Amino acid sequence: MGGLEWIGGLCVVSACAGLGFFKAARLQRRVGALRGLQAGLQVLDTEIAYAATPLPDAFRRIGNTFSSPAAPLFAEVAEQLASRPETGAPDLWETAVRRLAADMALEPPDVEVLLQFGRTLGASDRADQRKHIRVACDRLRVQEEAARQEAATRARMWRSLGVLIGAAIVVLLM
Amino acid sequence: MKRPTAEPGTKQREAGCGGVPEAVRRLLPPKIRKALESCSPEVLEALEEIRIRRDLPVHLWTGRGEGFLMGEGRLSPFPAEGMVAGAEDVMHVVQGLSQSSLYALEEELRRGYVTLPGGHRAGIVGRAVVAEGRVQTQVDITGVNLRVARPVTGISRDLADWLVEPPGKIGSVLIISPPQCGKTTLLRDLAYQVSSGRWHPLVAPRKVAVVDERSELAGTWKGRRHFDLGPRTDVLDGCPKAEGMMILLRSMSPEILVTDEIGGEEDVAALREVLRAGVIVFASVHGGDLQDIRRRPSLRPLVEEGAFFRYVVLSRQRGPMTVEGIFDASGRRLRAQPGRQPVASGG
Repeated sequence: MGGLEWIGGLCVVSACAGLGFFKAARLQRRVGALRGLQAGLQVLDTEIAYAATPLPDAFRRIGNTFSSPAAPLFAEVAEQLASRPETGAPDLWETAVRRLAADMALEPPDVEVLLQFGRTLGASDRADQRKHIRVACDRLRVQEEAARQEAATRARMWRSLGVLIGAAIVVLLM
Repeated sequence: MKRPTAEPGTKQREAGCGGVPEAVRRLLPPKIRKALESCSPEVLEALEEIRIRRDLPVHLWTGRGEGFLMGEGRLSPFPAEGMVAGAEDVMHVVQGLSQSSLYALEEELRRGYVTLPGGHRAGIVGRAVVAEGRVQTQVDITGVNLRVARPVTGISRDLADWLVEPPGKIGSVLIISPPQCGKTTLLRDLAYQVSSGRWHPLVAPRKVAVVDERSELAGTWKGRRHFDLGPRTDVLDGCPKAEGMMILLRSMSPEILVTDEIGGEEDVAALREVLRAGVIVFASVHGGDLQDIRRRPSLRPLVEEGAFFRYVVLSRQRGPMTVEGIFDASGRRLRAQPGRQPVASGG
C-alpha cells in the first residue's frame, strides 16, 4: 500500500468524522439556542411587565446582552422594527425566525412554537403579552428537554458513526 | 387680525418638510401619505389635523378650511369623494404610534392621546375597557386624529400693547378659546417672548416655569425640548397640573408660571395658591367667551376676584388664532388703540 493511498484514506476518514462531529455540534447548538430563547423571552417579560419598554428597545437590549445562539434573532427583529416600523412586529418576527432557524439549528416543532408566539407579539395589553410569553417559554422548555435528551444519546452516536463510516469506506475501497 | 407670520429669530424646524412634520408623516399609511404629499403647498402649510377614521373618508382640517382627501391630493367638501380609510390604515397608524408595542401605550390609550416627538399629538378613540368605574385602556381603535403643532409665531408681540400696561406692568393672563384655535401656540409664544425678553421693550425678561402635563407646550421627547420656550424657562414635563404648579412654586422660584387647559377644582385651588404667592400665571381654558368661564363654578370665583389681569378670547372666525377680544380684570373689553391694528371688530 503506497503513501498516496494512506493519505487518501485519511482524507475520507476525517471528512466522514467531520460530518459526524458537525451533526453532533448541531444537536448541542439547538439546546443552546432553545435555552437562549427562553432567557431572552424572560427578559422581554420583565421589560414589558415593569417598564412597558417598546419592542425595538427591549429586543435591542436582549440582542446585545446575550451571547447565546439566539441573540442574533432578537437583534435582527430590533433592527427591522427600527427600520421598517410600518410592517408590524408579527410579520418581522416571522421573517426573522424563518431566516435564522437554520443558524440556530432549530427543528420544525421549535420553529412552530416561535411562529405561534410571534402572531400576538406587541398586539395586546401587558397582561396578555405576559401570558403569551409564559406559554412560549413553557413550550420551549419542553423542546429544550427533548433536544437535550437527543443530544445526549445521539451526539456520541454521530461522532462514532462518522469515524466508523469513514473507516468502512476506506476498507471497501482498498 | 391678519394671521401672524413667523418670526425670523424663532425656531422653525418644521419648515422644509412640506408642512407635514416627519414625526406625523412617517405614521401615515402609504396611500394616504402619497395623496397628502400631492396636495398643494398652501394646504400642507396650513394643515392642522389629519383625521383617519375606520371605513370613513380621510378628513383634513386646515387653517383655511376643511375637506376630505381625494386620491390625487385635492380636498373635496363631499365625503363621498374622499379616500376611505380601512381598518388596516387605522392599525398602521396605531402600530407606528406604539412602535408595534400596544402594551407600551396603555396609559396613553387610557388618556386618549399620544404625544409625538415635536409636540404633535395623536388623539385615539376606540372601545374603552372599564374596570371598577375607571377607563383602563382602549381596544378596537376606530379613529385617530393627528394634530400638527405649530412653533412659536410671534403673535404675542402683536398683543403686547393690550397685555402690558405702561410702564411695563404685566399680570396674569387667561386665554379662553374653543379647541383648535391656537391657545397652546399662543401660550408657547408668550412663554418664549417673556423668557427671552423680546415681548415688549418695557418688560424685562422673567424666569418662566412651565407645567407641561401633555408634553405639548415644549414638545419634550426623551428629555429634549422641541420648541424653544426661551432661555429662562424650566419645563416640568408630564406632571399633573395641580401638583406640578406646587412643585414648581417650591422648587424653581418662577416669576411666571405657564400651564395649559386648567379646569378641575384641584387646578383652580393650585392656581390660587400660585397667585397668592405673587407669581404671574399664563394659563388657558376651554370656552367660547368670558361668559362661559363665569358660568363654570370652579372658575367663577377667580373671575370675580379679579385674579387675572387680562383675558384673551380666541376663535377661528378668520382662521386660527383670531383674537375675538381682550378684556381687563373687571371683564371690560379693551378698545383698539389709535394707530394700532384693531384687536376685534367690536373693539
